[in-house]
Formats: sequence, structure tokens, C-alpha cells
Amino acid sequence: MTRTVEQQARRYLRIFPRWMRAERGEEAVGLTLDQLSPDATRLPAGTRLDLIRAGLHARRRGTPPPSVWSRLTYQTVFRSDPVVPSAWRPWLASVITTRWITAAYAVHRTLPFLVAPIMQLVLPGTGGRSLAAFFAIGYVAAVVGLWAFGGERWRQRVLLANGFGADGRPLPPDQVGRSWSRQTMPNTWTVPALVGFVLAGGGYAPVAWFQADRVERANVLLVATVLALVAWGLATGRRRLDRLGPAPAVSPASDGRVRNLLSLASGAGLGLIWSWLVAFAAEFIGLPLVVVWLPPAAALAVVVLVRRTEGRIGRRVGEWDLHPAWAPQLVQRPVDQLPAPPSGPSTPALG
Amino acid sequence: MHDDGVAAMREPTYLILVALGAGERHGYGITQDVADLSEGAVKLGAGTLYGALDRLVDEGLVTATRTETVDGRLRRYYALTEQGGTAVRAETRHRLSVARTAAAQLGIAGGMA
Repeated sequence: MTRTVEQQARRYLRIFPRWMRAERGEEAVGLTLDQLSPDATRLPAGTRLDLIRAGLHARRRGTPPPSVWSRLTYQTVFRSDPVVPSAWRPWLASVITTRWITAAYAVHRTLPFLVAPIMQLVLPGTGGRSLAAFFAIGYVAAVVGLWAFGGERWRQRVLLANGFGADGRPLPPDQVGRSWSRQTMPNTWTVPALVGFVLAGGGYAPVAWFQADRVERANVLLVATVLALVAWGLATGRRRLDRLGPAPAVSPASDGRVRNLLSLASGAGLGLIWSWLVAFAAEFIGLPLVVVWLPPAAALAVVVLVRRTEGRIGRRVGEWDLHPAWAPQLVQRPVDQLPAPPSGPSTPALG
Repeated sequence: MHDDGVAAMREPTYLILVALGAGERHGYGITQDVADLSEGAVKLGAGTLYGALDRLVDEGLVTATRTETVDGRLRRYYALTEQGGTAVRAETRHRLSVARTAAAQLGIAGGMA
């Protein structure tokens, strides 16, 4: 029997879904070869047909129903990490551990940002191709930034939320119930990203707005409401930061000039998209100029708050620590007082 | 679905479970037993066997017990679970009942015991 036969068997096994190849691929190759005569030089037609038929059947059986797909789509776009019913978790783990899934995630999650440039091209009188190209550049920068700095963390969060470790293997049952996905965003790259956002978002929109001569009378109530919400959020975040202790929960990401530069660029891309959207909306609903500046100003305030906290406790703190649901493990309190993980049929089995 | 509430099994599935009823087997052993049980009528290929095993493991009828490497090839052993044993015995009783009735109705000499 030549090595060609084994290569043929492995080639036909690619018809099977990835999760099944990982689970039973080597066995199937071994059995296929065991069933052949020692002098076989190629796979018999019957064996090839059997592999094709069984592979297609396995793909059909292993593909989730539309309800699972719709849940995945919705949760991925709208910022929560997808959790699927237990029957589909091996499939999800096999998909999530593929090489390019983080790139797909970055494109998927930023899809809403594509609405603006598409509208530029489709709707008459809304900017034309030059503005659409400008937007496309910002969109690509945002996708690259999200892929480079958020993709791997997202992959690990999804695996953890579905009861798997970072390598895609199921977690021991006693760890699943206590695990809690945690987003970390060390300031090694959030600060440059925020600076880029502030510069681009705070700079472009007012200039474009003034040039368009569309500054209108300030809506005092709207401004006051937004300011109150920002102030409340900052006060809440500050109280939370005050409770953080010095013990590091995770090792911080490594510093790097390229990473900082990319962070700056991706933050600027997001800022440009955001500021243009505000300026575009202002043409119709008369948003006051100050609203354009509020998010960048709030972002700067967050940076200042976080920096102060870092100086106090002597370690890096992520902006996500401002919200209790994002980083519960950083709070100094017993494990049994942590927020309960999601319940119901989507919760990973405990035993 | 049979009258006793047990889901009807396809022939390859039934024969795989019967083969495992004699004790744990690896893939090649199962295919050999299935061929013997069916007097050569059913020859399971690797695709069919592992597709069926994957489904039976998911359904809780079969479980993987251990692995070994022979001549550089991975072999995983499978065994019936308690639920799998119950299911294959119920299916066998049903098939026996049908065969007895058929033998009597067709007047086959000697019938079935």
C-alpha cells in the first residue's frame, strides 16, 4: 500500500466537518487503510463514495438550525458573546478556533458602520464617492484595529462562555460554573486609541460642520441630558475604580510601538466615522455643536480617571473596569459573591 | 417508532449495537462483526461507521472507552452504555416478535422457537 492511498483518504475526509475530522479523522483514516488490501494503490470507488456520502450527511447533521445562526449573528453584532445550546457547542468550538475567524468577527461586528458609505453611494446628494472613500478608509482602519486587538480576546471569551478553554478543549465541569468572561484592555493601547478618537472625532466634525454652514441654535435640554448621563457614568465608574485593589488579575499585554501606532490609527478611524455620522445626522435634527465634542471629552475624562487609579494602586487598569459586568474578577470580594453566570438552557453544564 | 415506544433502528445502527453487545470493539472490529452478523450483506465503510458512531455517542447509546496506537494508527474502542444495551435488547425483542409472526404466517417449516 502506498502513501498515496493514505493521502487520498485524508483528502476525502475533508468533506467531513472540521469538528468531526478533529474528533474521528485519524480513526477513520486508519480504518479505511485497514479495510484495503496491502497492495492497493488507490481508494476503491465504493470507499470514495462512502466517504463522500457520510461526509455530506455529517455536514448536514452538524449544521445548526436557523435559530442558532440568527442568535449567533445577533449576539456577535450587538456586542455580547454568542452562547449556543450545548448540542452545538462542539461545532461552535471548532468554528471559533479556526485561524481567520477573528478577522470575520471584526468585519461582522463593524458591519453597521458600512451603512454610511453605502448610503453615500446609493442616496443622491449625500456626499458622493469621495466621502464614501473617506469612510471606507475609516472602516478598514476600524476593522484592522478590532481584528488586531480585540479578535483573540473575543475568541477566548466565546470559548469560555461556552465551556471551553482557550485551546478549544472542554473545561472541567467544576471550572465552568465559576468562570466568567472578562474583557481586558490595558492602557498600553487604549490611550493611543482614545487620543486618536479625540483628535479625529473632535477635530473633523466641527470643521466639516462649520464649512457646511449648518450650525444651529443649541438644544439646551438635550445637552443637559447628555451631560448629566456622562457625569453619572463617570461618577459611577470612579466609585468602582476606587474599590480596585493592587492585586493584578491578569498579566498586562506587552507594549509595542507598532501596536500603539495601529491603536492610534484605528481609534482615529472610529472617531472619523462617528464624527461624520453626528455631522450627517445634524443636518436633519439640528444637534448642537457641543454634542459632537461630548464623547471625546468623556473619553478623555475616562483616561484621566483610569490614570489616577493606576497611580493609586500601582498597576494597569482597563476602561472596561468601569462597568461591573465587564470585569467582576477585579473587584476584591469572595468568589461566591460574583455575579451569577447566565442561566437557562444556554448555560454550560455543571456536571 | 415501535409499539413499546422504542425508536426503530436502521439496519447498520442495529448491527453496530449488536456487535458492541459482545464487548468493547474498535472500528475495524465492529466492521468485521457487522459483516459476520449480516453474513456479508452489510459492509460498513469508514465514513458510514464513524458517522453512525458519532451519532450514537451523541445519543448516549455508545461511549468511547480507550485508545491505543497500533502500527502508527489510532484505534479507539467503543462500548455500549446502559441505555444502549436497553435499546438494542428492545430492538432485538421487537425483531424476534416480527420474525415469529412472519414465520407462522408464511408457514415456514419449523417456525421459530
